[in-house]
Amino acid sequence: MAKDLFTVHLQPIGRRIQIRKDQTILDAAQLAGVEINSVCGGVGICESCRIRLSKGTLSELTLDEENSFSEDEIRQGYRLACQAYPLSDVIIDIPPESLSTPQRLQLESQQKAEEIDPIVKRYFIEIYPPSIEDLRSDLSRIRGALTPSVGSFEVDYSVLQKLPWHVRSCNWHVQPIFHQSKLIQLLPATPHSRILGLAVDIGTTKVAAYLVDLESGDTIAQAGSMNPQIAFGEDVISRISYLINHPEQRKEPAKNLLHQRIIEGLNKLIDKMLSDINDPTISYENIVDAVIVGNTAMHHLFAGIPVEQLGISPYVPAVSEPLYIPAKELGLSIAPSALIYLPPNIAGYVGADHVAMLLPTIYPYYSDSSKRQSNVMAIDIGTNTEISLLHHQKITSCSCASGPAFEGAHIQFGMRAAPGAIEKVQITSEKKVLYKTIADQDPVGISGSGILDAIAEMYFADLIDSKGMFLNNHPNMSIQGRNTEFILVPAEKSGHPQEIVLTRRDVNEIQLAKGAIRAGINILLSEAGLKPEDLEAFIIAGAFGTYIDVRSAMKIGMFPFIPLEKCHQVGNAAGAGARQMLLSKRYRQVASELAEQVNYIELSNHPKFPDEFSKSLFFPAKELAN
Amino acid sequence: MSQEIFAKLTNSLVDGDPDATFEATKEALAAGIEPMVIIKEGLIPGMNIVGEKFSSGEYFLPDLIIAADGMQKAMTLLEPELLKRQQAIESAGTVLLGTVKGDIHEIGKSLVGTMLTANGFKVHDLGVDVPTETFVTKVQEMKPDILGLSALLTTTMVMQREVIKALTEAGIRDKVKVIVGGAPVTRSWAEEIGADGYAEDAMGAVQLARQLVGK
Repeated sequence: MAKDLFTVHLQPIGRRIQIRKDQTILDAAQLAGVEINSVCGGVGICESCRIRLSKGTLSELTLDEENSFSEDEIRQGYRLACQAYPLSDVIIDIPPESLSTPQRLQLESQQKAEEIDPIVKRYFIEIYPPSIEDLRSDLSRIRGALTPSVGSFEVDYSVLQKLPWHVRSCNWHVQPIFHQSKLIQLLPATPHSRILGLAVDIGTTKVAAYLVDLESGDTIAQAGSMNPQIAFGEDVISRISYLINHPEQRKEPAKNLLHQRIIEGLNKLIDKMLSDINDPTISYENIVDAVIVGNTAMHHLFAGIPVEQLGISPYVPAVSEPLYIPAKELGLSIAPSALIYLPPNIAGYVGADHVAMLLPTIYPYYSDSSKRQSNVMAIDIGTNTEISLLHHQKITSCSCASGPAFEGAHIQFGMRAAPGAIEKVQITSEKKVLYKTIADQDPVGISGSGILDAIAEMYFADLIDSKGMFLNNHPNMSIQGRNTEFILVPAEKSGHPQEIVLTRRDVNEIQLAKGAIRAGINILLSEAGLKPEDLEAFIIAGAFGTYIDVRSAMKIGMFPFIPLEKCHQVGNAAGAGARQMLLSKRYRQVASELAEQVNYIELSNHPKFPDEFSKSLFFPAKELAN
Repeated sequence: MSQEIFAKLTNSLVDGDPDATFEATKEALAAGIEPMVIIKEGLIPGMNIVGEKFSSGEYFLPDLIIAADGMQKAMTLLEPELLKRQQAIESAGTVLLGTVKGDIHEIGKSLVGTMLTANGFKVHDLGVDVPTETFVTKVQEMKPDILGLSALLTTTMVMQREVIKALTEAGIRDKVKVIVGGAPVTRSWAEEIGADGYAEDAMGAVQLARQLVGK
């Protein structure tokens, strides 16, 4: 007998829902409270509900769809959500442009840089036009005007390509821009003109970009998006598998689809930021420097370097030293000869983003002689969680496979931090369940921070025991073997016609994820001979880390109990570090120094890992919370 | 007296308290109970209860991992004693186990090993990142009933196919039953690469192994 109900996984939101075979994928998204664009109302003509089939089988292409997509797109699995019915359980990727409400992206940490000494410098010069008495070339004139301040210098070929036009169009008032001793750009010397730098944090899931004024240090625009590579897999390993399984994509690493998508995605963010600035004197030609950080796989994919070796133990990067790549080589829409700086990587799973994150978190302790003996831990929680410990002026780092549960994956009603996600949960002493959603919309699912809260609150309200078993002492509790669940929101109050529940299986997923993180923390501490109370500061970075209730994380044992005044939630520290490197060349040296001296511990085959992991799976004794 | 210790052993596994299992094992040895008896009367009943609760959906993976941890801790005390007495653990069959080349994930594979041990199989664990040739030579050398191949990454599961190919090329494919597992591995993948069996979890692996050795 054919199945009548199919499960539709909606990625990257991480929601899943069951629908009948006569319901479309658009129906599924609407039932699940995921807002896909649908301008024409689902009749297949507006092409705004584009989705991509990632796994499973859908009904045959309709004529409308054949007209909507190129052959290439059809091969990649593109469909219209309103035209496609499931023929099996399916996994559907929703491209960012098809989502009508943006997911909340993390763009905070706008604090002004304290140190401004960028690697890029500009000069204002006025040169004499040529005459019959002075037949020197255009470039010789520029050299002549710059000799007193710069001395001899190299000229990038692309500057020469437009040199005569530039000097004449601005009436011989020019501002030459140098990257160290190389002339990389020539702009007209208009008053108040600005030179900008681009800082980007390429996360596996999200991308955050900033435009920074290289002289004032101000962040004048910022933009975020989902990482467009998500269409090729949620995590790093599945994207690497995609390339391994598509040899045609491997012929030229600098041209593979994942590389192209991230460059296109960044160019869109640059366009958006420039149009937000809305200043006719500022164009992409004014963006004369860039710092890009990401984990090692994101770094390699961005730079067009093969990544297959990162998917197989011992996970070795192709390159770990810092790189400078001319923007024109990568097709990034900034000044073509700007040199994009990629900070060093530490190891296969600890990349330049972690190095960037160390700058605003660990480095202030590392460099301050009065804090020399500090013990400081910094943690960046994500699909891979990186942790660094400063002790005796040495930094030890590790990476834990915490998985995508905190992003909402593998959690029945889990979702990313988007409007309608439950982000806070409280259970009162009368055992009443209270919650708050993002943007105060009707609840449609639970975000990672909401899940942590819910589990901590259920544990302390005696609704689950220390092993994660559900206890039958609440009217919302239903205990039926594998289908054991607790109702957080009854159907009549939710944003879709279903109740929102937390299942025993969800709790199990979080136990595994938090167990991996805690095992990493414990191993770093014990290798240094430290106890949690020896830490002077516990710094929590990253999107998820910004929104969680740290106490909930401690109550379920993800973090050890540490006095709250020692815990600092700092937002996107990797992005902040990237901006520091943009504004100060000294920070680039610091990044190299830190990356060089970090001692990396591989956890997956660490002798203590199995024991620490199994010890960290259950919830800690409640008395510890006092 | 010994009944009390057996109950302690069993309960410590069911309650997920590996340190208590370790202590109870020490106590049992000090009381002069034979290691083989400790395993049969104390540990195996405990692991079986955990396995049943897992299968019924009452227990989840963390419970299984912690029970296996307790079992492994107990075995570190019992194995030297068994060796001293030159006793082999009675065997339902022999299983050679390892994580494929390029993959260093330990826990899932060890869990399968412990559950098989607790159910009377003799398990040789080759560890992680095991080269394909090692699987082949060890199969030739040890002549196990079953070879279990673990892979936890989509990038490394292809090595399961390589091992099966290498066994065929060495002319010993029909001498051993090959079972595959790991997070990304599916039944259809197992069929595609010509494995003899697939199980979703450690308890499934025990049932599968029993079927394959016909017990």
